[in-house]
Amino acid sequence: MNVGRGKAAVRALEALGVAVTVPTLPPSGRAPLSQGMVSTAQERASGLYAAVVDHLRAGKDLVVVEPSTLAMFRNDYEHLLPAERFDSLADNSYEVLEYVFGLVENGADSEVLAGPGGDRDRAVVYHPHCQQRTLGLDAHTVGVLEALGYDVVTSDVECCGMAGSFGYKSEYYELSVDVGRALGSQLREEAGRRVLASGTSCTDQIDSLLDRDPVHPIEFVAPSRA
Amino acid sequence: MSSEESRAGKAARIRAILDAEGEAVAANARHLNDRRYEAIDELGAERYEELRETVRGIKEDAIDRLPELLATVEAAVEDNGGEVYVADDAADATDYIESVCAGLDAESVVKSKSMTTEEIGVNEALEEAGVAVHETDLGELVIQLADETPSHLIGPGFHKSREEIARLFNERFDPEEPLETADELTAFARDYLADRIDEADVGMTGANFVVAETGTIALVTNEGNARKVIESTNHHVAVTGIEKLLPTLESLRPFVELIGRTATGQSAAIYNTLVSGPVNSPPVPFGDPDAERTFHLVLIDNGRRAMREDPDLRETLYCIRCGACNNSCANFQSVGGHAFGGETYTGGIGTGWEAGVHDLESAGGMNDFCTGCSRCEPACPVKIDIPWLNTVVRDRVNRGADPGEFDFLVEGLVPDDEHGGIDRQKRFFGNFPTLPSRERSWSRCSASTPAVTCRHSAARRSSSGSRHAGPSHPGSRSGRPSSIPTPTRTT
Ligand code: SF4
Repeated sequence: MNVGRGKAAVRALEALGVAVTVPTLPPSGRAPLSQGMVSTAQERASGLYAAVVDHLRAGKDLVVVEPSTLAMFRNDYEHLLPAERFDSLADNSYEVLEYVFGLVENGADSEVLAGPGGDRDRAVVYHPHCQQRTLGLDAHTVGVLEALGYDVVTSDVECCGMAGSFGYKSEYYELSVDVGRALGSQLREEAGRRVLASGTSCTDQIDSLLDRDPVHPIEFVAPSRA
Repeated sequence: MSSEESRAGKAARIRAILDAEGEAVAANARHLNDRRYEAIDELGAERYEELRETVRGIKEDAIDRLPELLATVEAAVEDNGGEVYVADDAADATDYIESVCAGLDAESVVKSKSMTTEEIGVNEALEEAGVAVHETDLGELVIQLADETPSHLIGPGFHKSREEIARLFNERFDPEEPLETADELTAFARDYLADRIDEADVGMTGANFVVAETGTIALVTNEGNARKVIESTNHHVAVTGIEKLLPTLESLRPFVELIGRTATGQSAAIYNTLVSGPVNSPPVPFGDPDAERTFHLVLIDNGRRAMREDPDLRETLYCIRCGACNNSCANFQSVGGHAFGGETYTGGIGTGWEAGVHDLESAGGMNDFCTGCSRCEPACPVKIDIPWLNTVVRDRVNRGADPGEFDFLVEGLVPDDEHGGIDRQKRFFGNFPTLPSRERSWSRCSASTPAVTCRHSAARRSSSGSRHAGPSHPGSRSGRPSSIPTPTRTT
């Protein structure tokens, strides 16, 4: 589990004045769903809903770091949960930079976040996760980065090729690498820029494609540890 | 064969296709995908969404009223002097088409592009019956000459480079001067096809849409060959699926506005042809002006009525076969439809079609190429949830498989609710987040849980939301969708 980006999310949100609770939640069901295991995914969805329902009823928003998990809440759960449960999860869940964008748009002080300057480059290249793009939420990350003063170039490949577990399957390994090549060459064209990627599997793929140490945008903009 | 062996076999097959076809497929699919983004940008995200909503609504209604529309179109076509035949399955359809050709003593048929005739195997059936069949769409001609199958819904010869096509033409036709450039190849094909069309007794087309009310078929092409095939022969056989029915001429308009953009990134295709019954213009060139002209509309069921009753597969029937889901798919861009394809249909939506008109085996063989990345979703003009269709078919494939001999004796001992026959690799990845961390230390978990919740409703999506925002091309550095939500701060 990649805890760095979760901790960064907490630091960033708290700095922006948000009171954060980190609940222990069961898996979202993305893994079984991706394997066509619909009834297992359904079980997971119900389990997850049961674990967050009290928080939602208390009026909290659910902020999600991994885009494929958010896509479950906003899209896939429509097929897995009763309508009102789906609606309440979908309506109250946010991608972390979407949330930050909303806070800043509404007057939160973005100065608390890490902008360019010092040893931090102004130039970044951002690869948005495929499902994040489908949700239309890549724009919020770009919006936050630009508001902080970064110069952002966005990749335009449709997918990094890793796609969850796909690239780990032996029969699809070479295809996954071939798909990744397109992303690799775009990133190489932007050689001087810091690489940001919003999906865990995208980060893995980029890590294996080039030596550029990609980070999640929230880790990039979160205030450093006190 | 063990699943390890079959995995190695599959890997080898994918490698071979990547080597042989990958380059041409990548260039063509990415090119069309880029053009689609540009065409939609030009249309504007708002208008695009409006049109998608409209056509989705028309399709839902049309499939709902299918029995009624079938009766309407039969009456309308007969009024126009044509005939309608509704074929239950592929054999029924090809038998009928053969009998039409036999009744006309037809020796040769010229065809414009149609995936539905590929689905039912018209060419093979007619050739067996002694009728020569000539494809007149350039891509289809290439495929016919090479004796291959289409690798894309709208670009059958997608996987072939110009060099390969030149080699094929030079081998087959042995022209005085070897052909080389695209212009030379096209000019040669045009002359060759003009002769085939002149000789032909029957012209066969598909139909992109069929207007029930007027008995009109709509054909959308860029080569003009469909129109030529119809005008130059006395007998027109149009073959298409029953799902292509639209209620009225007016309901056709938004489809024509969208299909060129999502298919090829054109604001409109070059030829939009409407045909209602036998054409009454004199045959070109130099035909007998008094010759009898006939029109047969063959509407294919072949599993579609059953798909209509199937709550999950039904959505497939809304598909207008524009190919956008093929082009926007990262895996498809690499391997094309010869890997990511079934017996006839290719790409994301191909799974739904194959499951409906062929079988789960054909669908299951291609289904794994869909990773659920969801990039086809905003690309689809009729808003089909293509990733969900692929998930449902995968579930059916899992359930259809026989429980393996080494599987757990008691299903309750496994960490999921799945059928015992499920592929063990799928079961492993499907239960990934529940494995002890030692077993998955080789990778970071891809299915993380939500990280934080906060106490205050500090950010809200506007009601317009961005959940179904249209695609904004991120290639443009500043290109941001216009639909960025404007949250309201409540604390
Ligand atoms: S599913 Fe949608 S995008 Fe794919 S071919 Fe059909 S209409 Fe086009």
